[in-house]
Amino acid sequence: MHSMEPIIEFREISKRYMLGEQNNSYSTIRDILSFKKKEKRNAGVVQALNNISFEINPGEQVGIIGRNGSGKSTLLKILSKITYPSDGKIILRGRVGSLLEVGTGFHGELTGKENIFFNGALLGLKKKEISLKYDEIVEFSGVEKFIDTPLKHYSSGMQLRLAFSVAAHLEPEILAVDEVLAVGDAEFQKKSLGKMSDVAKSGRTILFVSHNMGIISTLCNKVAILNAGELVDFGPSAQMIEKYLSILEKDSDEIFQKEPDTSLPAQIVFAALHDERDQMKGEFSFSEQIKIKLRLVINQQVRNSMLAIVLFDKLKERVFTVLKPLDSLKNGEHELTMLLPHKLIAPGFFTIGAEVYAHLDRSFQVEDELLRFTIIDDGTDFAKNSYGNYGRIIVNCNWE
Amino acid sequence: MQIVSEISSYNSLKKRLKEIAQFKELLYFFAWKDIRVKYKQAFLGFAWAVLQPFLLMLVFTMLAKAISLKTENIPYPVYSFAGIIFWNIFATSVQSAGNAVVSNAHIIKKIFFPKLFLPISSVIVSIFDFLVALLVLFALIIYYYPITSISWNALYLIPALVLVAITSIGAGVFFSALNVKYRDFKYIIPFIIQLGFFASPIIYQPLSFDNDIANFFYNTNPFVASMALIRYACFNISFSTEILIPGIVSSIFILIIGFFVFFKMEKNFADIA
Repeated sequence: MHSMEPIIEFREISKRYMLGEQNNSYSTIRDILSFKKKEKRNAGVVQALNNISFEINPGEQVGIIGRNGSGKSTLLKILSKITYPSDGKIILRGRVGSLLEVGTGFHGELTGKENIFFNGALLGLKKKEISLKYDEIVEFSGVEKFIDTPLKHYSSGMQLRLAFSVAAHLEPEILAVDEVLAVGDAEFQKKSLGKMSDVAKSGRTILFVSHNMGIISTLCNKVAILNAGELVDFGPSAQMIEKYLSILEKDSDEIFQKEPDTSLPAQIVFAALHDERDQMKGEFSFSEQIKIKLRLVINQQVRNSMLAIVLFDKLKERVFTVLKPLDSLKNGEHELTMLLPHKLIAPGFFTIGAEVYAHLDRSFQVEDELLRFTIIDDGTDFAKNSYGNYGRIIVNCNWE
Repeated sequence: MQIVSEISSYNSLKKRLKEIAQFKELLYFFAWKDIRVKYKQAFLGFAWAVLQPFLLMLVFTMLAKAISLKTENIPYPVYSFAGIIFWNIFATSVQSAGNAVVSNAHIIKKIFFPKLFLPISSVIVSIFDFLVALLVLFALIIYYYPITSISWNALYLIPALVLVAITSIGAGVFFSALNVKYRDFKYIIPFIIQLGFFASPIIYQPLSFDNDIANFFYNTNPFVASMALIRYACFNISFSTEILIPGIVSSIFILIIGFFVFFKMEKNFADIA
């Protein structure tokens, strides 16, 4: 093909939600008859995506990055026709597969064979195409022996292998994967990544939504940055990742505040970083003591409730997690101070996340980015030797 | 490279029909899956399809004794069974179609396909149940020989089935869409089914009024028309053709309204289901 036409054209895509429409906002007839609806109308509109335009050429691997709520996942959902844009259009010159649908529609009462046919049809394959690929799918899945057994007797690993085997034989021209949505176990994640790099090597087009800059930079040659529903920039990965990180660092708020919600059994309402002299700040030197001060409100004592504090590096990879049981805390407001070990966290940009939850039960509050901070090199051994890459932590080991 | 598809906020009827044609095999797979799952435990699947109308028939036979319902001299068990199995197509398909979209929300949120297949598949499953029960109806007709007998008239069951299917698809599609947005429809649907059952001449002979206008409105119930066809087919009870017309027209009207409402609301299913 000489004149290469883009395989995907996003043309002025916008998506608006009525407030509260996004999640479980079905109503009742009672609501229509009463005045409830009116209130809802006044609640306003959320602009999830605003006027997004860019083009992707065949064979490009494009990463989509941005903070939570920036519209990344919405964009991918529109691309896979799960939800519709409010304005604008997308022109597609290929079939879209998403790995999101791996195993979708699998039914425990049906045999492996029956599930292959149903799942294949759901993914848009014709019966003839499935029959043609059937032997290959079964062989690749490695569950031949059980193919006439109902799926409910399969182990979860076997189910996953079968599901992946169907998806792997779809061969869409465009693969759109949302890592944020692709919950599931580590094996699933590993398989997804493996599949994506295979697809990338075979020269097909990939769209990949992720928080993980490490994976983005190895897998993608182009990156689109989204912020609050707007396309900030679109270009070569390395350049875009750098730009994104600098945006993140620039608006690092030093405090976190949240409206108290009495329906939550436990909630963090305030957080800030302080140094040894209780000065609030967002930049620390390597040898400085960092204090995380939290204000925690307990409204209801729940058994096994815990607070988890997570340190993420700039690529959003977890460095470590600190757990604190909350069982001993009485109802009311509590000031907690956590001391981060000094001379441990290597120079660089970090974020702190937090979760308040009841162990083995439910989550009360999840904050992906509670606080952000930067560690500045104040003369570590590495810096003296001008070795650029510190890693995430610096430890002193004894030699014998 | 040719344009494979275009995604925008506006979906023309032509585009939708193209999608339905593109995915048409999936409808077969949905119905096949639903029937397969239902009949997996063969005993329960088949037994229920027969037992449920059979038990209803027994109860209504007792009722008929108590209040002496008119049956145009046909033995009440076979008379009521014929009505019940046709009404059941409508009742079970509306009941399960009503929930079809909501109970498949996990699929709708992950994958694109014509959602219309969900309620229609429910209707196909109901028709499958009906075909099983139909064998019992034929057995009953033979049992009551010579009062009732199987003749070429039985072919009239086909237009009756088509009429009931159109009504069921229309109503099923309509309620499946509304149930996504207004969840209390799940309480209203059983009530509507119950009301419809007693208001339609399923287990008794059709009424006729002195007033022409009242007759016309009574005949707009598609089940007045289909029961006339069914009773002609099974019991050779004659009917005048003009009473069919209001029912046929209204069943088509129900179908059009159902599709219209479904297409209007379908866009937001993934956001609110």
